[in-house]
Amino acid sequence: MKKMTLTLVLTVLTLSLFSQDYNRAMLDGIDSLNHIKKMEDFQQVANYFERIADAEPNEWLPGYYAAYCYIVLSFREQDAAKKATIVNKGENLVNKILKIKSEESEIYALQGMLYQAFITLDYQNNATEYSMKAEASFDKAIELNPENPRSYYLKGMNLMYTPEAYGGGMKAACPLITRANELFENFTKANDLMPDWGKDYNAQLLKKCGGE
Amino acid sequence: MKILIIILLLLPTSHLAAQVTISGTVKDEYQNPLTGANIYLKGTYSGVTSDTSGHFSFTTTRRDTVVMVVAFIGYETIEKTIIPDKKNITLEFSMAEVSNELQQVVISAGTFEAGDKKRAVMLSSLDIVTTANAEGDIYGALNMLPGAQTEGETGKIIVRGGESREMKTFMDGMLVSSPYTSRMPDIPARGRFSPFLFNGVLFSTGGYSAEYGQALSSVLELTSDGLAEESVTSISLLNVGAGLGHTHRFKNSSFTLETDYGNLTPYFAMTKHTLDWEKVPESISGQLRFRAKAGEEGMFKSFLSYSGSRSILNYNNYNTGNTERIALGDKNLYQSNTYSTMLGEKWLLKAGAAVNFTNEDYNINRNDKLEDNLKSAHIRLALQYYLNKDITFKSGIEDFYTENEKTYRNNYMTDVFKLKFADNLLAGFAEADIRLSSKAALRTGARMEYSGYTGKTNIAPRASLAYKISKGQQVSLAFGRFYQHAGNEFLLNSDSLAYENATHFIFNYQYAGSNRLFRIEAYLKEYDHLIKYGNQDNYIYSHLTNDGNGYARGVDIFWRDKQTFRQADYWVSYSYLDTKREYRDFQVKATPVFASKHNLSVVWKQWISKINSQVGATYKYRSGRPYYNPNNEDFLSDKTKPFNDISINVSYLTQLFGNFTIVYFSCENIFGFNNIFGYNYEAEPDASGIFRSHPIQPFAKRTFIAAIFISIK
Repeated sequence: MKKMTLTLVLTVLTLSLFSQDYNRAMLDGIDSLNHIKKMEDFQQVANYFERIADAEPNEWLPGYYAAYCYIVLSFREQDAAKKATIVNKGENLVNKILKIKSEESEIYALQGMLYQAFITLDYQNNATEYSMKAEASFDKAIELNPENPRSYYLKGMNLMYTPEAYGGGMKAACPLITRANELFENFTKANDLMPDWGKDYNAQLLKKCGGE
Repeated sequence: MKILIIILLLLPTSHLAAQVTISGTVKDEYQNPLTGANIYLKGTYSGVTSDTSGHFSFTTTRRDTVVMVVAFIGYETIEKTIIPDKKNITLEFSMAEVSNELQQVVISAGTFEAGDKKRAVMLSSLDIVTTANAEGDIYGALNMLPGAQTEGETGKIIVRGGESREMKTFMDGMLVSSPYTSRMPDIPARGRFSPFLFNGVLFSTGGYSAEYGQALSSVLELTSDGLAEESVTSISLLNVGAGLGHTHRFKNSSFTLETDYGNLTPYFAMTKHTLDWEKVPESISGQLRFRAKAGEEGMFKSFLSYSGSRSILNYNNYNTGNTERIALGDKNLYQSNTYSTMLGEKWLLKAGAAVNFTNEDYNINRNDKLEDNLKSAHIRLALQYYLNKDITFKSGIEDFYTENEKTYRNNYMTDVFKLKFADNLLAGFAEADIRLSSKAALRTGARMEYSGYTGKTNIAPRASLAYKISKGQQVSLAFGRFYQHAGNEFLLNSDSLAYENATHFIFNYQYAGSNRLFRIEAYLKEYDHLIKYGNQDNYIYSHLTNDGNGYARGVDIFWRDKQTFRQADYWVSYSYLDTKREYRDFQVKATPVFASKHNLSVVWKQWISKINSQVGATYKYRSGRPYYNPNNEDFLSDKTKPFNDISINVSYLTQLFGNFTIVYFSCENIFGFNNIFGYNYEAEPDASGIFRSHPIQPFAKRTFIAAIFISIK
């Protein structure tokens, strides 16, 4: 009996230790992500989250942050071949976390951003197809959680950089940026580990809207 | 209490356990340090990223056996079991690039692959549509690639000195038996299907896989679009016709219905031309496309296309010395269904069935009537097995049914003749793709065919080898044997003709940099068993044998650059061709009329964001083509003057009533070069004993296309 109790207590303790570890590790990672200064650091932070993702196959957030890092990295990469590899990596990660959690607004918002990365790979060939794909992802993200500011922010940004001929432009984009701003102001995370980015950049976009 | 003590005792011990330092470097296969690799112990959070010199170092308290992981994007992940039993562990890793990634060694001899959206450098199907002198025709655009030439007067593609029939077109693996529209004499044909239907194009000019047969020179594999993204209605208005289409997207399937009406009246009104139309070409066509997801990994595609056209031309036939009234009717029905799915993790199944009916009907002077009926069917089943990351096997069986009937009648006699044949060609193929190392890849296989009509069997071996010299640079070699039935016109006359055959040897060097591509390819193609005949009278050939032969050899060079000039993309291709053959009714070996020695193409595309437009220009040069001159005893020794063409196009993107709209304009041969494809000669010599000649020329110096495409969501 005693033995059993010991085992039980140990198991519970180890589990809680692990989960504490997970929370701690994630918070550390999010903290480094929020304080990135150089482009190369995105790779480091991505690696960090991938290690956690590998160890925690049932958690979607480590993969989410890793994918986010790669997508941001891809926007800044100049070498076309490298850029393509990075975008592919981002795509693999997004597909992977969609298998862990299929109905998550944040993942679809990120997927929309991933499709924007595809457009930058080859504007002429990918623009039409991937704009539509991005649009569909943002709409799905809004459907799953109408309060998620990132869906509106990213959708608005997508429209802002889409030529008017394709239904983009300021006129179409600004209402979404404004809506995102309202949601950002009132946004409270469901827990500490949930995504909470985009507010500052959205504010910059909002200024552009005001300037029009 | 005791328990707690035990726990408390246990906990610190693990924390105080001796630390082990694991350090080392990560490099690629060429000994260059890799920055940014992820090095960690599997199942734990401990690990680190390699620095700019590829160096890494981290500590762990683990003392048991652990798996160390080294991962980096674009490279194969390495896993290594270690026991941290020493204080310091030093490890060196050499990472190999992932197969199928951009930089990986791939079989490339002879092929131009387009449409993979993740690859930045190759050609895409949109590139085809926006090539200035292509006039939106797939075959018109291939003309600007190395190794390919368009025969101006027929509009058909010839590849590396092969006749146009030596190229076969496939859509999703299924044979398209009538890829070109029917045509009037000396007026170019066009591809039957719009380039907008495809998102992938693989154009092979030699040495292709054992998957393909019955093509001596070239294979064009088109991959049709998958599920439509969303519902959309499209309207197009051109100076050659109008079209209306609607796509409806359901959750897991999509359905498209399109119809086009073509009438060349406004086109010929805009163009100064030499043709005497009694009835300007008028056509109607319709298409149905259905796509459905089938299960997790499966896709079902169904395609139905119908087209019919009519035209009447008064044609100056110098051979007979008369003006002939030619009425042409053309009907085509094509239907294909394909299904592909993964079976488990390792098997890929592809199945398909397609049928094609083509009816061509020429009525000359309301008197002679030539009718050509082609019925064909293709059934195919192929399996791919991924043994491991380095080895893939592919094999399949297919059956091609061809039935051709040619009838000639006139008003005074009933059925002057009727020729008909039907053939069942059964084929099987097997091929292995093997990655020998991270630098070398081999593809080897064979194909076997049996024809029910001729009773002949052939076995065609194929092999290609690719070797990567350094990042971005690779050399490839290819060898292959190719068999093809004699043309239908000959099969109608004999059921004992052997297959014509060609043997390809190809050497290729390729450099693929960031947004730049350079390739040079040298080839030798040896033809044997080509058809020879004594005499021809309409569809009747006498003394048919397989005694012909020939060769084609040359060098193709291609350079594409999307990097140097801002928002511009250009490519240059040059082909040198030396070819001779003795076939058909040739008495000696000679260069056939369709082949020119030097071919140069330049394609330029520029996006101008200020005016929301893409402008493009192309230049094409071809050295003179041989032509038959009855006044010259030396067979096919005369050559036309060189061919020159500069074409331009503009696509302007805008909104019309809130709908996305493209306004398009193109002009072919804007400088009006006086081009000559060859000469027709009068059948009888004049008083001085000379056969008088008449040049075969494009029907207009300049041609214009203007169009508006509107998408309504």
